[in-house]
Amino acid sequence: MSAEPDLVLADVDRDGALAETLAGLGGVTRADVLRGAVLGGATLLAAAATPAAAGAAGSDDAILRFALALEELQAAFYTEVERNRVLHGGAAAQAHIVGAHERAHVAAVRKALGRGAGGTPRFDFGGATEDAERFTRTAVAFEDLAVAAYKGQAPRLRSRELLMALLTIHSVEARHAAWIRRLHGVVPAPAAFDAPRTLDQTERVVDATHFVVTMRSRRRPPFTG
Amino acid sequence: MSPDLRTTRAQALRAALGATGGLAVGGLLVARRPEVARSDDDETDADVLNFALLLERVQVGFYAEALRRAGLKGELRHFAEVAHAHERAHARALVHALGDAAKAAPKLDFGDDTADARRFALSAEKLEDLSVAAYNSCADDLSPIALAEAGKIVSVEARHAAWIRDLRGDVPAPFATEPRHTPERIMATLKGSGYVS
Repeated sequence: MSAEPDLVLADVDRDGALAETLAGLGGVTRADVLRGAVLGGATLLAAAATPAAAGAAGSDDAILRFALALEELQAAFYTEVERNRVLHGGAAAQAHIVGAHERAHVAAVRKALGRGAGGTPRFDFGGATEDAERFTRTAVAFEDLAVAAYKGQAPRLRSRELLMALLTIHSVEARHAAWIRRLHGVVPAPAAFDAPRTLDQTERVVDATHFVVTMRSRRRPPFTG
Repeated sequence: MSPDLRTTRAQALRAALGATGGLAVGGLLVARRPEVARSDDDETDADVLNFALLLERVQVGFYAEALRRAGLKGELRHFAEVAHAHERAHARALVHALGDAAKAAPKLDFGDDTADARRFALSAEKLEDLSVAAYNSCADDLSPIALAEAGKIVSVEARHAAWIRDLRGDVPAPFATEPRHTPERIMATLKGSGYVS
C-alpha cells in the first residue's frame, strides 16, 4: 500500500465549473471567499476562534449550502456509477451503501435549509462514472475532500445543534474515505491527524474539476436571515 | 434570522439525521454549554479532553499489547501498527493540550482480548467505534479551540473503525449518520470492557 493515492481531485477536474456551482449553490459570496483567503493556511483552530469567522447572521445557511453542494456532488456521482453498472464485488457494495448515505445527507441538509436550499445541480463526470478504476480514484479524492471540508466548516457554525448534526456526517465521510481508500489499495488512515480545509482551499481543489454543468435553479431564497 | 427560525431549522436537521437524545449531555462531564462562551471554558475542556485522553491511552495500551502477544500477521498487523502510532500521537497531543490538567495514566487490563488475532480484531472494532462515538458525543461541550483539536482526531478514529470493520468483513460505514450517545453511556461501555479499573 502506498501512503497516498496517485490522484487528487485536481487531476480529474477539467474546466472548473464545480467551483462556480459551489459558489452559486453554496451561497458563498465573494466576501466569504476573501475571508477564506485571509484565513487560508491558518489552522481550523484559528479559523474557529476568529471573531470574523463566527459570521454575520445567515452564515450558518451559507455553510449548510456549501455542505449541500458537496453532498449533491457525491450523491450524483454514486447514483450515476450504480446506474452505469460498471462496478462489481466489493466496489459495487461500497457504491450501493455509500450512495444511499450521500442521498440521505442531501435530504437532511435540504430539509434543514428549507426553501433556501435551491435547485438540484446537474453534473457531467466526464467518464469518471463509466470506468471502475477512474471511479474509485475519483471517489478517494471526493471522500477525503469531504472530510476536510466538513472539518473546516462545521466549527464555524453558530448553532451548536447544527454543529453536532454536521459532526455526525463528518465522521461517516471519514469512514467512506477509509473504505474507498482500502478498495483502491492505499492506506485507509494515512496520518495521525486529518487536516481541515477552509472554504477557499476546498474551492481551489474543486476548481480544478469540471463536473458541474448547470444549475436547474438559482432562485434566491425569499429571505436570507 | 430570528432565533425561533434558526431553532426550527436545527431541529429539522436533527430530526432528519435521526439524532436523538444527543443533546441531553450533562451530569458525568459537564452541563451543556450555552452558545456564548462561559468563563469556565478551560475547566470544561479539561474534563472532556481528559476523557478523550483516557480513551486514547486505552487504545495505545491495547494495540501495544496486541502487537506483542496476539500473533498478528499481514494487513491486520499493519492496521495495528498504524493505529498504535496514531493513538500514541493523539495521546501526546492531548497531554500537551492539557498541560498540568492532564490526569495520570490509568491501570489497564485487556484480559484475553489481546490473546489472539480474532479476539483482537473484534475488540479493536468495538474500541474504535466507541472512540468515534465518544468524540462526536462530547463535542458539544468543547470550546472552539478544543473542538478544532478534537476534530482532527475524530475522523482518524473513524478511518480506523472503517478499516478494522472492513478487515473483519463488517460494513465499514453502517449508518448514514454517526450514532450519538450520552457521555454516561460511553463511560459505562468503557467500564463494562473491564479495560480500565
